[in-house]
Amino acid sequence: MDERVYSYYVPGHADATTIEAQIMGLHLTFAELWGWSGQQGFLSCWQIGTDVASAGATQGVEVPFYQYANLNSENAGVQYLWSKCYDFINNANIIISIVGENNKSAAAEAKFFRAYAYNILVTLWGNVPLIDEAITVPRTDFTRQKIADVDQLIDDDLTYAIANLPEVGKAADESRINKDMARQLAGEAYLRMGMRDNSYFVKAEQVLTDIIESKKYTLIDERYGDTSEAGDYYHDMFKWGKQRRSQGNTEAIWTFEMEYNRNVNGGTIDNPQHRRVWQPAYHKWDGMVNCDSLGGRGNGRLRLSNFMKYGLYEKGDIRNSNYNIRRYTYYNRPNWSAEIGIDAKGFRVDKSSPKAVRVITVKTGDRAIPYETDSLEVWYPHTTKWGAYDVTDDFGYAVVKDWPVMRFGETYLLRAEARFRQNNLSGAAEDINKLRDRAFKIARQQTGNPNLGKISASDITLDFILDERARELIGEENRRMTLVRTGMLAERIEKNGDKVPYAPENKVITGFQNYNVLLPLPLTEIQLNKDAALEQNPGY
Amino acid sequence: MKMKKKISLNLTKGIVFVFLWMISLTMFAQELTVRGSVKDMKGEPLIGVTVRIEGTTIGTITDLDGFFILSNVPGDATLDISYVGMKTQRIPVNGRTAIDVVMEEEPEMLEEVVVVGYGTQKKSDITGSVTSVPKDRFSKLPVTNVLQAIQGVAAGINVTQSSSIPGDAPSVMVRGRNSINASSEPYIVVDGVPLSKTDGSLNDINPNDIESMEILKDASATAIYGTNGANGVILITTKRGSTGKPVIRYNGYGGVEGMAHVLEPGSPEQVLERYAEYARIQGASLYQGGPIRYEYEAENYANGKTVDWIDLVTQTGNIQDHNLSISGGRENVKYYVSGDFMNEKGIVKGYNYKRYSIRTNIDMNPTDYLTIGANSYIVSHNRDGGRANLLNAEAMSPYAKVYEEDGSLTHYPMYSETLWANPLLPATLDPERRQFNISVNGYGEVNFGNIWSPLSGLRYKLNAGYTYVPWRTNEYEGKSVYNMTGWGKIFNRETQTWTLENILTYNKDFDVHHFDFTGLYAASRKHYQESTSEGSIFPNDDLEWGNLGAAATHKVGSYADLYTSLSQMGRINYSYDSRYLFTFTVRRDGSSVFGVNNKYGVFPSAALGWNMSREKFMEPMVNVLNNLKIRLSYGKSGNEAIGVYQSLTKMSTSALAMGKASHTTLTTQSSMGNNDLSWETTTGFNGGIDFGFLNNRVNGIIDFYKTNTSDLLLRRSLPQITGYQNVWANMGKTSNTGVEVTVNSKNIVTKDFTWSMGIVFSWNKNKIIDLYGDGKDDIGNRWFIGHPIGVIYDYTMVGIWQEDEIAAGEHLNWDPVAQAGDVKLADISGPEGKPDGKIDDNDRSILGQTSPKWIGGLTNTFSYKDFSLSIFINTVQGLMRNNTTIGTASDEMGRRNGPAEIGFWTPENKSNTWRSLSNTSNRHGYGFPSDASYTRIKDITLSYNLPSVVIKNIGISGIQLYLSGRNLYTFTDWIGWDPEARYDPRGSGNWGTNYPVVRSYILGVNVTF
Repeated sequence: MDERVYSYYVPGHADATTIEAQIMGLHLTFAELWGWSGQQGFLSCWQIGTDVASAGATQGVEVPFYQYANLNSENAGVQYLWSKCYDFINNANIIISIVGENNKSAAAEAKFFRAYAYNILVTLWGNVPLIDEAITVPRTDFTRQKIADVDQLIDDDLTYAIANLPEVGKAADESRINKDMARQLAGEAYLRMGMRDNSYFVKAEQVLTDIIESKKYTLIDERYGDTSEAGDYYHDMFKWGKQRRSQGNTEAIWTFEMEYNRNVNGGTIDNPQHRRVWQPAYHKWDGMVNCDSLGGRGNGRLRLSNFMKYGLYEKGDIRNSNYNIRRYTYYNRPNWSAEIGIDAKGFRVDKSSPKAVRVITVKTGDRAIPYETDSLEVWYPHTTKWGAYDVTDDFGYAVVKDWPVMRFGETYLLRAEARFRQNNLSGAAEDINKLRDRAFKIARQQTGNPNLGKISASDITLDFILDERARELIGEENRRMTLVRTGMLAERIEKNGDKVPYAPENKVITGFQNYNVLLPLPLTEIQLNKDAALEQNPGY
Repeated sequence: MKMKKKISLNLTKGIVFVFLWMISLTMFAQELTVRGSVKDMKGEPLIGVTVRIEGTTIGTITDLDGFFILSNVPGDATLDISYVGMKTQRIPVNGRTAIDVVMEEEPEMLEEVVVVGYGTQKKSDITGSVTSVPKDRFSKLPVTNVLQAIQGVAAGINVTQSSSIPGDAPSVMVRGRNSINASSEPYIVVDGVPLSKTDGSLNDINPNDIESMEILKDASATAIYGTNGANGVILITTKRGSTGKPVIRYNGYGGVEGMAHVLEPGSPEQVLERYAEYARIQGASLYQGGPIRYEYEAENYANGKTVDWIDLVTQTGNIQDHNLSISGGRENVKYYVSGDFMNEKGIVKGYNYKRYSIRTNIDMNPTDYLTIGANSYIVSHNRDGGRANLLNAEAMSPYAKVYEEDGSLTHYPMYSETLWANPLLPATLDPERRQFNISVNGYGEVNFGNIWSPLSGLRYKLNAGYTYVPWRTNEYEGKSVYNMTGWGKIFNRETQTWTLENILTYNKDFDVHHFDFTGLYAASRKHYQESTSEGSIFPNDDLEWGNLGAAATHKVGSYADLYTSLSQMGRINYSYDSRYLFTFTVRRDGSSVFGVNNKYGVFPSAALGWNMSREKFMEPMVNVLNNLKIRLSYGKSGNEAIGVYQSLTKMSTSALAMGKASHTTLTTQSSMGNNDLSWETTTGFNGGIDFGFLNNRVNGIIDFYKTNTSDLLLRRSLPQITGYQNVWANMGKTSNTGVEVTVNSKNIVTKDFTWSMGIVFSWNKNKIIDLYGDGKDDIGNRWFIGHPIGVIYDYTMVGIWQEDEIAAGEHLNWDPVAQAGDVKLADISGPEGKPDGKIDDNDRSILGQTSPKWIGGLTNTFSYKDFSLSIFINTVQGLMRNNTTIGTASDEMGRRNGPAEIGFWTPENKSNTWRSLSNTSNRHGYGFPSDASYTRIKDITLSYNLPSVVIKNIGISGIQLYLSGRNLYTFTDWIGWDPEARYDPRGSGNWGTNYPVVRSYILGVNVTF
């Protein structure tokens, strides 16, 4: 009557190869989390309803993240992020408890992911249940632990991880966790912890300095790799095939590798929605076909906010070039032409429309003219960081390209923030100028002004740092987490700039109240945890 | 393909020709009319006695005065005269036209013998609750699975045909749901060998081969199946040969199929209206300014052309079945051999089903004390074919573009909309779906009484069964479905099961005491394994799945498991004077699926019966009330119906690419392990009355039952904080209370005309008694104490928010986030237990149950001379389902076609039924539960027996022709394709294979040579 198990591995093996596969499982969970297609608008939840992005052709799950009155404990995005965090924690706990001190590098990698998950939880939910060993019997008596207790575990885990993880270039694969990834995560976590205990700002600066001083990374300020396609050096970092350190990206700290699962088993986990979220649906124009230089087929789920689109970048900033924030394009359907109307504001209208002030013929190669309503999903200035195209998959439900998770550029931004918090404004300016030297390099050459874009200590404010983060990291950082971490969500929402009547009523931010800074705990968690009260965050 | 079609057409033509030829021959035959009377030994006329020409189905019954007239009797025929409680007589006609018969009572050898577990029993001796399915449902109906034929005709059995895809089996439940998460399907045993847990299904059993079907319902009847008994047991006995000259039968039918109900898509005008309204709401533009939405609609719109997409993906289906059987035997050998071919071409393109089967049943007596036999069958199922996508067809705009300029199918007919692909694309594929069942079952029985007479009554039987069920699916997707690099997959799986049973029985009669004992020692083993091979990136599409090795990227997978069980059982039946009946059983089962700490369980039961009509004091009433039996039973049975390895914490293996190479990953599965996992136990009480009035002209069964299931196999949801989603645990209690009534009556019996009626009614009340031992509901899982297991727990919709209401601020203290056109939900409660001016989880309540409150069936059969007309109506009442058709309307309907009968709100029309087309018009996630009750005219069959004298001369002893229609009309308030049928919305479940309910008309013939 004993069950012979033929096809399942069961937890409990401590040998290195089994543990290795379990560690890879943590990386898989990472892929499942951010590549989720179950709710296609999931990625938008962390961008819209903030200063940088507004709703486009929404899928649904992200709607309460800008129409805040709808944000409640049954939101599927809230539920998913929460459950994936505890997936990390459980799988990490299993590994940590089995290997003990016998396999420090495995324990270190597991602790990195445990800290990664707890950092998300604490940032977005506040007090959360703290589980630091594997659960083997059903439990329904969880209570929320103080943030300080959870932070202690994050600190311990990352300290252990930094001590025991390999140096960059020494891990089994370049995507595997190394010391610098742990340092960068620690830098971000300590900055958050510093908000309640200033001593962490010193620690934050230290771990970030360790990355910078290691001299293993340099900011990309020259084109590299295949440069046959028009572009610039900033754009090169986000081209598939050039994103990894091994592919010449000296700025990459953590580039999460993807492959086409058609070519390599284990590529394309689920169907990452980044392109469909960040890229507009220009395929809806009859004069356009999907192509590589335009980054393939988007869905326009979110739009950059007016704040992001207009006035944020100074003239000459490479990060705002048409390769990086694409603002216009040209009809590209071969041998195409059409007669169209143009209205008083210069938008396209039907040629027979009474609004047409003139009728023109447009053809392949002409600059594309949008309808006025197109700016909601079909065409708008957008970041090209998530563009990618595969000719055999024109529809492209999944985007297949690497994910820039941690970049050396952000290291400077994080350290600038740590220095700012310690009133070292000139140090902060120095760090940010590193990014500006890169961003304005060409413009300085062209204008002959070596100080173009340079800032000084007096420019440094928290808002300036957040602006610079948006300029540098749009499409990369989890903007909501950044704003919540710095306590700036409410203030920065005001900057978004999309307002009625210039945007439709159902596309602008409404209903934000201060309690919305923290997310609600998933309702089912509270209901299933029947033996103890899991307090809901106030307001929900 | 064309070739095959031609052959089957010719086959049909050929069969029709043969029948016409046979019928023309019969015109020359002779006939006699035989009259007579039937009396009992006291000289009283007997009413309702069956008089039948032996070897045929042709016969009549005696009228109120005991007289009968039977026309068209061949002069050399033999009449079979049978009656409940009397000895059957065989009387050769010998050219006579008048025959009077006196029937002898036969108290010892009562009429019907009923198959019970591990043996048979006289019907009058049965103490438990056993339903025998009316035999006339096994023929004359175009069903591919016997459960389809018994839907609604057997009390306490709820059959649901959620999918009408050719070759799909219905689901069945006996006496309500005991289990919350574990399977509630009954245990199926064919000829003493389990079919359940072999991965075979009732689809493998040809309805033509079935002799009888019994359903064991109460705990006393099912306890002998121990851990497999709690959900009821279906026992099927196939036909066997009998001594005599060979009987050759041909049963065949052919007919056409269509959609029983079409959910009409919106008209072109409706579609344009919806587009316009949706564009208004979205502030988005239509194609070139409208009124169409998409580039690919432009051409048809400009030319004023529309496409009927439903018509494009559907067709007139057809079905045919041919069954040839030979049965007979000599003194020591009896045989039954049958072969069958069934072919169904479905009503949606590409849905095909072919079944070939052969069965051989043999019984031999090599010595007078030894009987050996075998029941073997081989079935082949073929469900090949690329299947058109009905949901995508419904979604298509009438202006959408079917073909590209080069004649190939468009990828997205509503391009630039790419959510809905061309519904015909999958029909360009050529997948193979094959399944087989090879079952070899044998037995040997020793009758010790024939070895040494003092051992008379002692028998030993060895039953051995082996089943091999291989399946395979081969698929390929290439350029025809816009997979530009090609992808192929072969999936193989197989199950091997063996069962071994040692059965010892002992029968003894002394004086008025009858005693029998059955003992069982049994073991079974089921080994399953599967393998998958996939390839991507092929040089071209020529070879499809034929050479997966030619692919550039490969992926393989495999899985295997083993299930074992060990059982002992004992049963004692005792009856005193056939008046007082006792049954006691006990079974001990061990099963591998449970936790290491709980492998074995014991299941006892007891029952008693009282044949009241055999008491002296009842004698004066015997002419009116000729049968009255009271039955009581109480017992325990189990349910282990969860998969293997559920008690273990397991890890999933997957792959993750890093460094351009694949790496194995291990992550915990969503289910936590549980070492204490054991079966759930159902304890049940059953009380029943069997009755017969007026020589059984009115007879029936009434049963009342109450079962309590405890230690439920509950897949309990866990907080995700644990890292797991759920765990299988034994907790909670449920109960089922129910009443079942079966009444059969002969309303009119005259010489030429009879009208008989069968009524079946089952009412079941299912309740959760407890969950976690603390009397608390589990709202997360939607389990509520005191309510049925499946409930609809949702908001109450009270209308649609109107603009003036919003403007007046009525929503502010009700549902502050509401906008005009949104679903208006009642603010029922809040955290304080009263309305709180906010719509949230506190406003959900239990609105209904997902299983029917009662089901019923009514069969009316009218016979006039050789004609018979049977009308069967079934009804399913008191259940609710979430209506996904309405649920997925709204914003999707602004982008695709949707049902004509679903409207939408606009500021002008102020609909209070339909919400707006905004994608937030149902912001609280209301499920649109609707009443899914229905009443169906399930089938009507008209049959005609050709007069035997007409056909006798050509060596045919009987021909029956019939015309049958199925799913003829449905009365329901449900909006959608059908209230019974599965309908999965886009992207969920099996949405690619939604299939309408089928209406069929067939013409059939049964010939006995």
